[in-house]
Amino acid sequence: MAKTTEKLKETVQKELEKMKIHIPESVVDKLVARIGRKKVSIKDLRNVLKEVAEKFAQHMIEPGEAVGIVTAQSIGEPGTQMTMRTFHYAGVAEMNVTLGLPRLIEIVDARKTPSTPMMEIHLLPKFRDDRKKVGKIASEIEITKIIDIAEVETDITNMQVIIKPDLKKIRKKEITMDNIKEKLLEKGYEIESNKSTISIKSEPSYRKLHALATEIKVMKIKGKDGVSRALIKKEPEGYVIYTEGSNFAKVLEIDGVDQTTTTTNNIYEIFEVLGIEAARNAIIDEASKTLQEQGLNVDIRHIMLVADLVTNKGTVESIGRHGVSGKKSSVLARAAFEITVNHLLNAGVVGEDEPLVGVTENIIVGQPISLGTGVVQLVYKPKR
Amino acid sequence: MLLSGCADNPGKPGGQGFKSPQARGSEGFQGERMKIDVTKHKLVPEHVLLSDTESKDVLKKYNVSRDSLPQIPVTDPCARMLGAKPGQIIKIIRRSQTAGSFTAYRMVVEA
Repeated sequence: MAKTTEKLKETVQKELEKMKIHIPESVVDKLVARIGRKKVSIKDLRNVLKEVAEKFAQHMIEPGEAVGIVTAQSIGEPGTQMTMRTFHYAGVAEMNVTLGLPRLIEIVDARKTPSTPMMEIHLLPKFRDDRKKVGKIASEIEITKIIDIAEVETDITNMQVIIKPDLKKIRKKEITMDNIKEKLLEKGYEIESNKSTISIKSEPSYRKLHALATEIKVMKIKGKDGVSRALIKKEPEGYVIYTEGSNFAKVLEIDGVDQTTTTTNNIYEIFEVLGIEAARNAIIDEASKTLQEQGLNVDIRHIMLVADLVTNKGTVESIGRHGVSGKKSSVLARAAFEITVNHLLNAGVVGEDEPLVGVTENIIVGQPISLGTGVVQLVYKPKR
Repeated sequence: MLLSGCADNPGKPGGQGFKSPQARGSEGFQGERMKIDVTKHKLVPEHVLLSDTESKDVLKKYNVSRDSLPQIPVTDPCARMLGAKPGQIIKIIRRSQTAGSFTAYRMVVEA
């Protein structure tokens, strides 16, 4: 069954190329599904394709349509219906994720770190059902501090900090005394140890001793920076690890992690690790999800436009005056947006020109804009 | 730096698959091996580096200047995998919910 549809699709696309018509793939798919198994001659097919192309052209958005304003209103209007408060995510076990309007604001402001960073870590097919292996990977990721696996005491008489590892906890986390010693040596501490304790000498001052103890207590022994918690959940296709905190780059490198489907809600990390196109897709996904969760149905085209605008310059820019809006070349447009006086003053001092090309500045000045009707300039040609 | 093992997943739908750095041969970046094959991630569309003639054809077809194209920094992981240099054009074949597939172009710029 699939073979004939594939062949048909190929034939259709070949004919389209010969006829020099362009029809998007989704329309071709629909056409192919409609034709099904009926036998169509090439002549008939060509006629059909011509008609399809005509109909498609009638359905396309007209050049000059003020798409930006339509998008802004289409996203803004449902935005007024979203709650300003965030509430607990009833889905993923006890995890607190920013939802609704605050999350949408984070995305549009291109914040480098979201307020509730979260990763969804998938594992390679061969490990997906192995609870033990999944548990091991989870402990590789979740941060373990010295205080979690040992008692840290200050020995005032000898001016030293004593670490007493709890053997049960250590074994559970698959850490050894030697691991702890290595980490301390890496960080440059001078240690003395016996079978059950490690001690570090401090400088002869009560304050320094206390400071040293605090340092040691919060020192990371295991796990990736930034990840405070890792939860394992059983999903239909296998175990999945959800984390509070995100370190996309480091987690992808871990053995056993599926590098193709693991994701994070930190858009900036996606940009750094996977590139600008991936960031664009992530923005679309996150914004869509946020709106859908609130029960709002916004056509994805509007979100795609925003994502395209934000990623146009190759990096993830915010919409506000530090990003897209601030880069406009028109003085009047920037002055009309925020910080009015500064822009006008600087422009005056430097002697900037205002070419009156964009929408905002032409509205201010009272001239027709270059969108919609204004995309065309009419010239009167008198009859001789 | 080791090229860590990639997931044993089938290639991306609809495309011929992306040439891995090893398959590229002499063209492409000089001996840089990245830790992760980013092109295999589900969020990353297919990136293709265009030759000079191909680039000129694209610019002519859309009647635009190089500078008016969307941009992609040299340091972008996908640009690095292609060994792209500033001024070159990358063709990106995206999966689109509305159009099935869509080709976009980005010009490579200094970071």
